[in-house]
Amino acid sequence: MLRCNIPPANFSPGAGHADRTARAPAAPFHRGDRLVSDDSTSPFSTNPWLEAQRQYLDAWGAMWRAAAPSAAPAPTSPADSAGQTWSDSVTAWWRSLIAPSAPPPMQTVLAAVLAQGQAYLQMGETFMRLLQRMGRPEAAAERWQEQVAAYFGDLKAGFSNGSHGAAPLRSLMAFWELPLDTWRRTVSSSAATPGDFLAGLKPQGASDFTDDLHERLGRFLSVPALGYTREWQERGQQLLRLGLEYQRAFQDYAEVVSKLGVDAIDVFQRRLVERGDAGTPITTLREAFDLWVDAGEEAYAKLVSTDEYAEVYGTLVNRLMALKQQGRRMVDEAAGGFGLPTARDLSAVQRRQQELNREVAALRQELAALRTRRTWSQTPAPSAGGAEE
Amino acid sequence: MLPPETFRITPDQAMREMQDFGARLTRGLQTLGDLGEIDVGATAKDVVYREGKMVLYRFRPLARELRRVPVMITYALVNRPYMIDLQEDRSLVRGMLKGGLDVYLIDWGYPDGGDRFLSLDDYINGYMDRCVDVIRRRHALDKINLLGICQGGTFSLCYAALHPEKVRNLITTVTPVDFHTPDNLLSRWVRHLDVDLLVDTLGNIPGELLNWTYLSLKPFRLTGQKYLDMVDQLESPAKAKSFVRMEKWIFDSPDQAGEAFRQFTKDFYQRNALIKGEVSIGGHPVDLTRVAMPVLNIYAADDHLVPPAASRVLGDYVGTDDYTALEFPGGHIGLYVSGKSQATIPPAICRWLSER
Repeated sequence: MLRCNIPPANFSPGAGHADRTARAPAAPFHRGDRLVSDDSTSPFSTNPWLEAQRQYLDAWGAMWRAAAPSAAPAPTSPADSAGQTWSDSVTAWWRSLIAPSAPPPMQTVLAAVLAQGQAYLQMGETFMRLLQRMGRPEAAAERWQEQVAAYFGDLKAGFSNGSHGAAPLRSLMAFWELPLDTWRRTVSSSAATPGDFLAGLKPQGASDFTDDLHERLGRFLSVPALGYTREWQERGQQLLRLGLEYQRAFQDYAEVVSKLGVDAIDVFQRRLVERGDAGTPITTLREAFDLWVDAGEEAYAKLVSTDEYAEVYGTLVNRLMALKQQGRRMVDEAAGGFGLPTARDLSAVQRRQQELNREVAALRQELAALRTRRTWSQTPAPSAGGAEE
Repeated sequence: MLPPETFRITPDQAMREMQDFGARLTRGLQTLGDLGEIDVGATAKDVVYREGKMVLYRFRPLARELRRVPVMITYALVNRPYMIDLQEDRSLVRGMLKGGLDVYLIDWGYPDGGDRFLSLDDYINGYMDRCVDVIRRRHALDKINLLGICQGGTFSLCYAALHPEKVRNLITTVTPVDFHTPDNLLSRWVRHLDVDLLVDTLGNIPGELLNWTYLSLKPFRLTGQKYLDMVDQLESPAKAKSFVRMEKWIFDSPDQAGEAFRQFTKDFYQRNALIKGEVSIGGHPVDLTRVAMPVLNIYAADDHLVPPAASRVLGDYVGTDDYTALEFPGGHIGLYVSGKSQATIPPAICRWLSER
């Protein structure tokens, strides 16, 4: 078991660190406008942290050097008791210590830098595993090819089925979670069900189940509405129908986007071969990262410039808007029934207000022109539509 | 087949690289945490006119002698106009002021629900026209110079076609004209959108939605790689501040007035009606052949938002005999904020105007 002085991922000053908190100031994070982190005696100093990072990586390096190059399985980055890796810990430590004390506008930047820093470090850890699997530089070419093929095979499999194996590279593509997540949040505010209740399903293989579900629900929703409340019931059925249509559009979109990971790996491999053939090898981790970014952009650009993508994207937005609009209509109807102002009422007022603004601006302009004409040579002109200062 | 010599990294070296990066990240995050408030807008300016949320500013001159005809800058409705005056050493405005120009700027503000029915007619024949009149009166001139930025360039172009008697010279920068060039991703993405349904449902279009759309043009670079690139520079507080200023600007996105968004997206992006002569603003057709005043068209060779081909064609449609094109070797934003642009763009604008 590897031991080092890395702070635990859930480390927070003043919580369970008696020897540290004893020396900690009562208001720990700021002294005036300065963050108290450059003082080596402070529990928030970065120096012990940097030293901990060094020790940790040294220990990890010693561990993989000790492993036999060909037979032993590659050591992975040691994890703490919570199963977190070194890069996870770096991020968690900074989140707990620095991020909360930064001014609010800086939080977004810190979060972005941290997320990418973590992604980069995770990629470094993945590469370390690859280098270890390939053995020493003097290993035979056949073994190299075998190991590289296995490595990329694992990554592709991870992207295809969402397994944990692809997590490091997947984290570099976290952006792809963003549009789907945004849609889920948007839907939450308008649909009867919280969030996207089918979103957890993986695109591949999910369609059999969801098609069947949609068909059954479709049959149920086509039952004619009866009785005193039939109009309300019909609107409810329409809302659910639109919800199902949106679900289909969401799955189509997710399926198109899900190809991206595998495509990016293919481009990455091709670019690596090109570099090898051209005699310009990858000499740093950062070069490998930049090549991965280029590969991602290339695969992405190819995908999103297709008519297929434009169509599934347009359909997704249109279906979501149709769903939201139907939900709003029903809310409006209910609010109107209680004598409350509705969105439709507000919209009518806003439209009328804009018409009045135009009329007022035109009248002011006409008045200003008349005044200017009368006093052109004597005095400066007054304001037109608004207020000159 | 991947040649064995593709990787020339030893595990020891990779380990050192990760360790070094971790140390730089640690120190960089500390710098960011210590930065405090971020100021934007480097040059002093005064309000000369306001109407609703729109404000017309005049920048305080920096040259002893001012040119007689002022320039009115019209910014896009997306993002905020302080991008052209981000900080002292990255300011298009400052360069123009130092060149002796008298510079006005329209700031559209942040539309809210009450502005939902603002149309392109309100923006172009309303706000813009009244701002032009204010400046004409202040300077006792019949015509002034216009400079438009991105969508503001398209607005300026439409304005010059609708009111040519008030425009002496027109400068367009990174301005979309042909919206259907093959490399225009934005226009491709909106082609299947039901824009009426979108606007009728949402009212104003949220700024975050547009922001996400722009970032998703190059997601790996704009949401990932650039932050790693910055880690190398974050140890310098001055560089960190510049970086955070840009970040503040990128994510400072006003909502879009629904009706204006509806018309702009349908007529310009979906129908490409500007170059077909089929755009009508407030019932008045926009005929680009009426743009007979001198035109300077500046575009960026590496623009991912407005592809150069979308701007370059302007000369084919305007009615002027005095047309100048200037290609900047950089990107959409770099044209205003890069060090390279500071030395080239403002002097080029001043020189071109002084010759006219």
